[in-house]
Order: sequence, then C-alpha cells, then structure tokens
Amino acid sequence: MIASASETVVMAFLVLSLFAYVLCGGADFGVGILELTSSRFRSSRSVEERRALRKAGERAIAPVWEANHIWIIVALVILFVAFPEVHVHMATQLHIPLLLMLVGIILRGTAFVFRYYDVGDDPSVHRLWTVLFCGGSALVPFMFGHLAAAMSRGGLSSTAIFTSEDSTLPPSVYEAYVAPWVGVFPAVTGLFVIALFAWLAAVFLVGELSGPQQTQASARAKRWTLVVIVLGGAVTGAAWLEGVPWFVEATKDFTVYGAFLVATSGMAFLWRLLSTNKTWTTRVVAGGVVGAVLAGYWGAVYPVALELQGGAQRTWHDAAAPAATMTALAATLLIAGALVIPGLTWLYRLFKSSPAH
Amino acid sequence: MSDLLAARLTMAVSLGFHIVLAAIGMVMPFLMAAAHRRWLRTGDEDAYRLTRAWMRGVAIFFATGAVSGTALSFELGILWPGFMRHAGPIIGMPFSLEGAAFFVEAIALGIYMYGWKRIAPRLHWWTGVVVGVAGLASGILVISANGWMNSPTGFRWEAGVAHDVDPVQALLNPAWATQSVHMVLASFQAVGFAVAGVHAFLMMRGSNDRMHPQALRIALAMGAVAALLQPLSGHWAAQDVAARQPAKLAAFEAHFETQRRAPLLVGGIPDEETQSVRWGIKVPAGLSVLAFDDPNAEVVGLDAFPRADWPPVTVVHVAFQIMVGIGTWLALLGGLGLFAMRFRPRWLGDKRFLGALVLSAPLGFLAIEAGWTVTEVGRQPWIIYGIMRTRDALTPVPGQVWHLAAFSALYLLIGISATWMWRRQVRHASRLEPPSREIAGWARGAAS
Repeated sequence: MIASASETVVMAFLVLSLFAYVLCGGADFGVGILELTSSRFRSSRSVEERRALRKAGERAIAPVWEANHIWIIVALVILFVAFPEVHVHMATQLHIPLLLMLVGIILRGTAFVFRYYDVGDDPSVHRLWTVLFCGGSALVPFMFGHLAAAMSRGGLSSTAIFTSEDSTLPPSVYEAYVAPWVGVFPAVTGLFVIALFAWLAAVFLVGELSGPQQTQASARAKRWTLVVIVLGGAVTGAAWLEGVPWFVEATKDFTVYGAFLVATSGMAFLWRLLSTNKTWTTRVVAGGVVGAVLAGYWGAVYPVALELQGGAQRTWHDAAAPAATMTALAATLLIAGALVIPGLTWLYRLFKSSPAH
Repeated sequence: MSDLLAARLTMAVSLGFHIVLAAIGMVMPFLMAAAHRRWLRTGDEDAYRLTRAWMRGVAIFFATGAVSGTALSFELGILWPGFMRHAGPIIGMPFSLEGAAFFVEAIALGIYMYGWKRIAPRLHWWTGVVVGVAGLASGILVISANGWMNSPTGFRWEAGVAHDVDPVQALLNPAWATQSVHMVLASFQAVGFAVAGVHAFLMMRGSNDRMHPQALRIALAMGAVAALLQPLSGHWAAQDVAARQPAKLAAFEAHFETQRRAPLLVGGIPDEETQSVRWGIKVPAGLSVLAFDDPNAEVVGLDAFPRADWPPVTVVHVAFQIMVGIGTWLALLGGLGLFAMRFRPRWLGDKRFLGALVLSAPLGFLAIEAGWTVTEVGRQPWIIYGIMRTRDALTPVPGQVWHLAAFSALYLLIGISATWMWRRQVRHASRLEPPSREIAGWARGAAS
C-alpha cells in the first residue's frame, strides 16, 4: 500500500483543511459557545459584559468568517471526490450526526448574518438570533466530535448501503444508523471539541480586549484551559474503557507521545503567556496546541480511515478514488492553494492592520 | 410520502433556496462595481452611496448563500449516497474548482469590504470585480456537474461500476456550454430586473433621492441586455436537448406522438393518462423548426420510450411554459426600457413603467426556479441520464419525510427573516451618507 505522489498531496490538503477548519472555524464557533456559557447569562448585571464579548467576537469574526467556514466544504469535497467509500460510510451510517451538524451550521451561519447586519435594535428578535447563534455554535462541534469518534471506534458496519437483497441486512434502524455513533466515548469527544473551540476563542479574544475586560478575558481563558485538560483526560479514559481499537495501538506509537507532550507543555506555557501582553505569541502557541491534538489523533488512527465492526479496517489508501481522479484533484488543489493561501494571508494582514488615515 | 419523493423535495427546497442567492452572488458584484466605477470617474456622491448600498447587498446575500451552499454540499451525500459514491470521483474537478472559486470570492469580498482607505483605490475597485468574476466562475463550474448528469461522459459504465474515469472529459461534458450560458443570462436578467424593481418601488413611493434613477438605469440596462439575448441561448439549449435527451424535449412540449412537421405547443394542460393536451395552441411545424431548423424534421415523441422512462410530463410542460412566458415578457419590457433610455428618458420616470418594473421584480427568479424544474424534473427518472435511476441513488436511511419537514421549516424561517430584514435595509437606503472627506480624499489621491 504505497501512496502515490498525488494521493499524498490530496491527503495533505485534507489534513490542512481540517486543521484550518478546527482552528479558524473553531474559534468562530467558540465565540458562540463563550456567549452561551458567559456567567450569569440572564442577569442584567452582565449585560455589559456580554455586549463587550459579542462586539469583540463580531470584530474578530466579521470580515473573515465566510473564509473560515469554507474549509469544511473543502474537506468534504476532498472526501467525496478522493475517498468516496469513506464519504458513503459517513453519509449513511453517520447520517444523523452529519445532518445535525448541518442544522447547526445553518442556524449559526444565518443567525450571525441577521444579527450582525440587521439595522435597528429589536431586543426580542435579537434574542432569538442570539439563542440560535449560540445553540448552533455548540451543536456543530458536539456533532463534529461524534463523527471523529464514530469513525475510529470500530462500530461501523462494513456495508455502507444496505439493500433488500443484502445478506447482511441490519436487524434494526437503531443498530444500523444510531448505534455506530452513540456512546460514552463519542459523547465525551463531542464535549471535548466544544471545550477546545471555546478555549481557542477565549485565548483569541484576550488580545481583542483591553483594560479590566482583558483581565476578565484572561481569567476566562485560564478556566477554559482547565476544562480542556479535564475533558482531554476524559476522552482518553473513555477510549480506554470502551476498548477503542486505535487506543491500544496508540500506546505503542511515539508520534502520539510526542504530540501529547507538545500539547501539554504548550498548555503550560500558555498559562504563563495569558498573564502577559504577548498577543500573537499566545495565539501561535494556542494554534500549536490544536495542531498537536490533531496530529496526535491522526498519528493514532492513520493509515486507517474507518474502524469497522469485528476489528476490520478500511485504510485511506484502500478507499481512494482511481488514479486519474487523484491526479486531477491534486493538480487542482495545488493551483487553488497557490491562489487562496496568499489571498488569505493578505486578507488577514489587512484586517489586523489598523486603518490608515 | 415515500422516502424517494421526500428526498427529492428536500433537494428541491434546498436548491430552490440556494439558486436565488447564487444568482444574486453572480450578478450583484457587477452592479456594485459599475456604480463604484462611476463614482471613481465622476466623483458623483450618489454613485458612492449606491455602491455602499449594493455592497451591503452583496455581503448579506453572499454570507447567506455561503450557508445554503454548505448545506448543499452536505445534502449531496446525505440524500444521494448511491450517486455520490460513483459520481464523486468522476465530477470531482468541477466541485473542487468551484470550491477554489468560492474561496477566492470570499477573500476578494473580505478585502473589498475592509479595503476602503486601506489599499489603493484602483486595486480596491478590482477586488470588487474579482468578487463578481469568481462568483460567475463558481456558478459556471457547478453547472458543469449538473451538465454531466444530463450528458454523462468521461467514464465507461460496466456492471454498475465506472471504469476508465477521465475527470477532465467529465468536466468538459457536452451540456455544460449551453446550460451555463443559459443560467448566466438568466441570473443577469433576474437580478437586473429585481434590483430595478426595488428602486422603481422606492421612486413610486415618492423618494426624491437621486440615487434611485441612477440605480434603475444601471440595473435595468444589465437585465434588459440579458433578457434580449436569453431567447437565443434558450433556442441553442433546446436544440442540444433535442439531440441528446429527446424524452426531455418531448416532456417540455408534451409531445406524445413521434411525427414529422411536429407542432409547437403554447400553453395547455397535458394529461399523461390519455396522452392528450387540453386548451393548448398548436403552431404547425413549429417544434420541428425550433428543434432541427427544418419544418419536415421528425421529432421523437414520448411514445418512443417505455412508460417507466418518462419524466413527469405535466410538471415539466407547465414549468417550461412559465419560464418561456416570463422570458418573453422580460425581453419585451427590457426592449422598451433600452429604447426609453436611448430615446425617451422621461418614460423611465413614468408611473406606469415604474409599476410594470415593480410587478416584474420577482419574475426573473420565478423563471429561474421554473427553468431548474424543467431541467431537473425533465431528467427524471434518471439521476445520471441513461446510467443510474434516481431511486437507486437514494439513501437507505428511513424517515426522510422528517428531514423534509425540518428543512422546510428551517428555510421558511430563514426566508421570512431575510425578507423582513430586507424591508428594513431598503427603508434605510436613503439614510446612506455621502463619502466622508477622508474617503473622497483617498479616492482622489490615487486618481491624480
């Protein structure tokens, strides 16, 4: 199973787009989660605090938020073009979490647009958008975690589409379309992704605020750091208890230990950075921690794409599309990358620079 | 309701919603750039205010369209895994290129919106143009994927599996050119008339803001030119369908019986059971002429196909009549508008003309919806024409009617909110401020 050059390029772009989505899209979702969990959500005393949070969040998101969310489309397109078997398994057996994730994306996306652009200030309507925005922001990472966990926990059937002639017809709807993704391990992973996104946003927002609000934001980022650590431990525990296939393998894998070490030491370093004014160092370290978490997960499961029932596996290479497709896709991605990545860099720099007068 | 029908309706609702936003995303940036150019050239403050108003439109519609577009990329697999499993690797090029174009559009829009005073004015204007060009490109690329469903190429189908996949040939499928020209013109026509209609409405309501007549001229000119070209493109597309998908053409025209000197049916309600049409007007040999440029040409009727391969004739024929009817009306109105602009400028402020524009504002979008009904329902029962039936592509997950209900409710909520928000946006249009001294100075600075 030697991957061709084009398969490697495609794979690299898949990993890159997932990383970018978790980092940029994740921070956007995190803003909504922070609003949802901001202390004393209903009390009038915190109205000012929440408004400041919202304004900072909108300032942070507005011009780039579409770009941040295109990464999931890129990942999805790569998946269905280059790895159709993986995509079909997700689309059928993980139909429900995928659909719920989509509902979250729609709610959050449209609520953001309406809340941000609406002229005038009608508090009751505004509250409805806020509820949908925050609810959607939490639903997406929760389902994203479920998907990641379900693909790697060994509960998927080897047949993606059951037909009536099939001898392996599943006994029930529950067994076919619910059981593969329901359980302690997927649920805890979902919570972990929520915490990770909220933490990213909390760290990011520290640099967007000033004065007493910054102190508050810094304390909030520290609280979320603790939540992420606790839930990260819970994911590991759940994987161990559930006997997730890759978990045993991972304990022998040095890349996983390396990633774990980088993530934890990054977290510790970040704890100290949060008390300083080094905005960009803080953000880069936070990005590095997320990268390490993803690299650890990837290192543990790769080259397996799907862990199936009864210990069977489907690797990315087995699930790959014909060579002609891979070559065409790799060429497209390289050209697109040459256009998009400098463009994005320009946009981010422009946006972060103060307006010239 | 069967899962198949529910899934098809869910797809129709999602696409029907997105197509409106996609059309706006393809055209509105050009309106914005036209007004912007005028401001840069003449320093006209109303042109600046108009640019800002239309920029807001571009931004809001793009952000909403990005969401409904994301929904579609999910729905393809959620609803039609049997299709995506085979089609994904074959039509990967249009989808991945479309993703790239969409990304460029988002970046260019971000730079345009936040580039005021931050980058050189000329470069800034160009980023606005790039928004439109990338929007057009992404629309045209997605149409390639749809064209492939109508004219599948770039693979060999054997025992239910695709062999010798050639993604480039699939991208360049024969239906692509006619379909994309038709859709691009349809978008310019729909958005041009819709925007002209909104500004006509504000003028009729008594607004003296000089921004509106200017807006009306730009939008109407764009819509009118597209509307006058559209019949030619429609003719080209229909000839292509006649050659490649004769059953679809027969459904357009409710043409049941294969015959020479086939008549063109205008209006009428077809009855599939009795294979007859009530209340239609028949133009002798009209269909033969339109489809093959020859009054004596034989046009294949639905009788040449097994009943199981017929598309739903009534839906397709009625949708086709709506599309053609609206197209004809907008071409006439557009012709009148262009004549008035050139020779009788006072007509443009006439209440009757403005009233016609206001009433015609939604028609272009209705024509787009009807046109997509024609091409999508007309392809049935196939999802990949002649290769795979729609029912074989359907997800095995039961309970699709709940999916349909949830998404209909969701899109209804978004539709109502968007309409409500737009009313407020339009009302605020007159409060737009002229360029600040800084902005005017910034624009002049680079012009000299």
